[in-house]
Amino acid sequence: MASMRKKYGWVLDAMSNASMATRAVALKQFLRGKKQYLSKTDSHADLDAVIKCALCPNMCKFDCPVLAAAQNDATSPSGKARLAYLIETGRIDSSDAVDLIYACCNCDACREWCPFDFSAGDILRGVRADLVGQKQMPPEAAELHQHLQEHHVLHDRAIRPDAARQADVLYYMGCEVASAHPEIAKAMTALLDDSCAMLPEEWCCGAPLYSLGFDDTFEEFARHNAAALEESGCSQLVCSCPTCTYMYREIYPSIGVDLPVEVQHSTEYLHERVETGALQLGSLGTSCVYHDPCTLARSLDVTDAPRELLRHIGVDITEAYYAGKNTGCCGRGGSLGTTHPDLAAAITRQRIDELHRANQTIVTACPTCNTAFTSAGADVTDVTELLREARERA
Amino acid sequence: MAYDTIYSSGAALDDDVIAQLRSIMPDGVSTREADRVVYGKDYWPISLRWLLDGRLPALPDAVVWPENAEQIAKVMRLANEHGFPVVPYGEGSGVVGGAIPVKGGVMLDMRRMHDIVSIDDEGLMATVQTGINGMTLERELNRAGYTLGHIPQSLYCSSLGGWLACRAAGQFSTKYGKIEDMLVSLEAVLPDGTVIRSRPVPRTSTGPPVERLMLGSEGTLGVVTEATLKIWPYPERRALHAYTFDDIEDALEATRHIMRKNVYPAVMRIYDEHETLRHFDVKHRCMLILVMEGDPELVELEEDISARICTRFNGRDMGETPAERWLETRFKVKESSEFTPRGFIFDTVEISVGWRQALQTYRAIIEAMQAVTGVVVASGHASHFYPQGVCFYFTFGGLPRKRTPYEFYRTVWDAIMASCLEHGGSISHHHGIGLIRQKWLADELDGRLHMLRHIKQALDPNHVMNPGKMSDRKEGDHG
Repeated sequence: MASMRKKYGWVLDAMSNASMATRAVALKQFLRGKKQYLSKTDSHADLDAVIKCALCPNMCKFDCPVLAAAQNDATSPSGKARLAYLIETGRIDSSDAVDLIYACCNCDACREWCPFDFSAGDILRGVRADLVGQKQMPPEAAELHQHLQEHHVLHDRAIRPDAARQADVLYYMGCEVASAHPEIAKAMTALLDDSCAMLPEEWCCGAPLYSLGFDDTFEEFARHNAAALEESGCSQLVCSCPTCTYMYREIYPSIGVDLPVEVQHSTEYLHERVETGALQLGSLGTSCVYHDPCTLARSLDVTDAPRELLRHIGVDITEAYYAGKNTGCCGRGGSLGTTHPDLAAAITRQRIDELHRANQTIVTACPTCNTAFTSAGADVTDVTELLREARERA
Repeated sequence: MAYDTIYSSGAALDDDVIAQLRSIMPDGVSTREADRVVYGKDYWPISLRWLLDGRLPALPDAVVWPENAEQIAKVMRLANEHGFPVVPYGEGSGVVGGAIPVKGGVMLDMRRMHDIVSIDDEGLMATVQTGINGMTLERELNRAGYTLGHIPQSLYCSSLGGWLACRAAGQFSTKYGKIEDMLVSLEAVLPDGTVIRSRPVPRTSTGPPVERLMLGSEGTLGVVTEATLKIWPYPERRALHAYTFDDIEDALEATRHIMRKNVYPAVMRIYDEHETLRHFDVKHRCMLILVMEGDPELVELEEDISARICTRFNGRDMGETPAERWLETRFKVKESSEFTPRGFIFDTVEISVGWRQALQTYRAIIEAMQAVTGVVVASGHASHFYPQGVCFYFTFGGLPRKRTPYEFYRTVWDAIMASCLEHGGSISHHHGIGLIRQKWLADELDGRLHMLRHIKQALDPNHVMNPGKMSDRKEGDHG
């Protein structure tokens, strides 16, 4: 109540010139007025947030990579929220707008500029869950869901751990490393002296299910993974993928799936090992531009650790103009590469162009960003791979 | 569809016209409902209430995305041939209904024309396509070591084309000027498809600058496609100051005297007591925010002169903190999102007035707003300054009570407009006319409206460009 008074005290002050009758009505409206627009109860969507975003002048739109690539205001954050409101209230047929509701790369750039600390990805997730409930999701999303239900991983694995091993540290590759970047897993295990445990049958962390609105299946994956981790007996989970890290660290607990382990991204964990002297590294004497993965920089607030690791091994970083929390998306976040491959590819090209203005050699710390850039022909290396190289020179 | 439209739900363009549009822009035409829903509006506050109630301002028949002036010229020729409306669209952040396609037709989204064509360091000019987003332009200029100095609150969600179309003003305008002061030359497509270009020279004496008719025409006389703008080296130093005054009269006098000294702080803003409490949590005072920037020696001089003048008018030095707070929060636009769902009707109204009438105009307009039944909030600040006068920016908020939302909204607007004109002010400083001010345009323009109509008739005899705007006094039923 005290915070409300501080926040809205100016309204009370401004009301001092209004009549008693107006003040009484104003107070009643202020406290209860919203109910008429929030009466829908069977929705997964946070309608209050949808409305706030829909009524905003779109103050984040300039930083939306989807809008920049699609060049259509209907893909802007507030444009999508407007459509979401009309869908949620049954004003427009969702089938006409469903692809727009899924046109988001979950990069959270919008959150940086939002006075309510919203992100379009968060707002749209609930709307998508409603669309899933009505079986209105895009066919690409339905196929991905079915694939995960059947195979439990996004892609065929190119690498499999030999057998379960007991260790305090469990290294979780994630789907992208396991399928497209086995070299990252090899580098990581080498840096850990092959002393880490790995799950012989990793399931996807569930991030695509979460962002695409398959809430029930996501919870099933979360519970499976939590049980597998518990069974492993590890006390620390280290992930190569920022999104896996974010899921395990932040999202699982938010749906009531608590993990009895500390969760870190590989750069956080390795940075600590370097700081304590547990990991000795040589110098490479090269240069690169470091691409901040959106989830690592914005959701996990990790921008220094990868840079310090790179500097520690003598890599000269040429910063991109848009770096750190002002990074640009690789285009593959939020499963955009699955639902909107052309849009994702356009965003990838935008980001590569930006990075190449700084340096032709791109280093990142996210296997999905790595895949996006590599697929577009760019020269990309993971921080872990460079660290392994430096280890060999130590 | 389960929604109503306040104005048009389309001009019923036939398939042949759509096919011809597609032949001009093979990749740039949409008739899907979702796109038309998003493009059938701008950021006119009353339309936010309509949205919540399931009522959309209007629906265009199609949205098109041209990539060059030639394509726009072809669209205009087609529009004249078939008589359909064309409404230029920048970022849709206008707050007076100017981009609403009240007669349907084609929304001409300029966003694909977003390149910075060139930067001339010697001449301090940048040539830019007008579909560029404001923040994108400013960030890229900053990156290259310059600033445009045009920083409206809508910077993040407005475009260069929109600024030119409504003669916009930014928060730093007291030093850098308004968009028309920044414009050196332009390229535009006229309603008949003719492309005109002026020269990027500092001044000409070659007859009336007819190309400047585009400025403030709100899409009714043509589409500006490219502009050469003045730019400045990124300021070496920025100084922040704040003073509070016993009342708004002293604050206004201080700023008037700063102007008389030929000192132009980039930012000068005076908040009345209500807004000082709202933004700075300071009671019973009026806050003056000053931001000086540029060459360090000049900034220091401006600081000294301004400080002496503020002290002379009993200004209390508040240090940097309030100005820092203003800088940090100036783009946090929350009110509409917070209060519209609660049933409140909010809007802001800017006017300009000469110094001689400034104080009494401010007081009269505050009283006029408060006199409308249902008004809860009536406040104001001054945000753009000249040696000749000032721009006041009023905020009102309230509940319609026994009227429709639009009737309440219209009544408050009319009270402000009438009071402004009565005191010799101009009914708009920088938001433009759009739909809400049309009713009062004749009272302000008088004989000039006749002239404007002649110009419109000469340039756009078929009234295809943004019809229903600028000179039409009739209003529809807004419920």
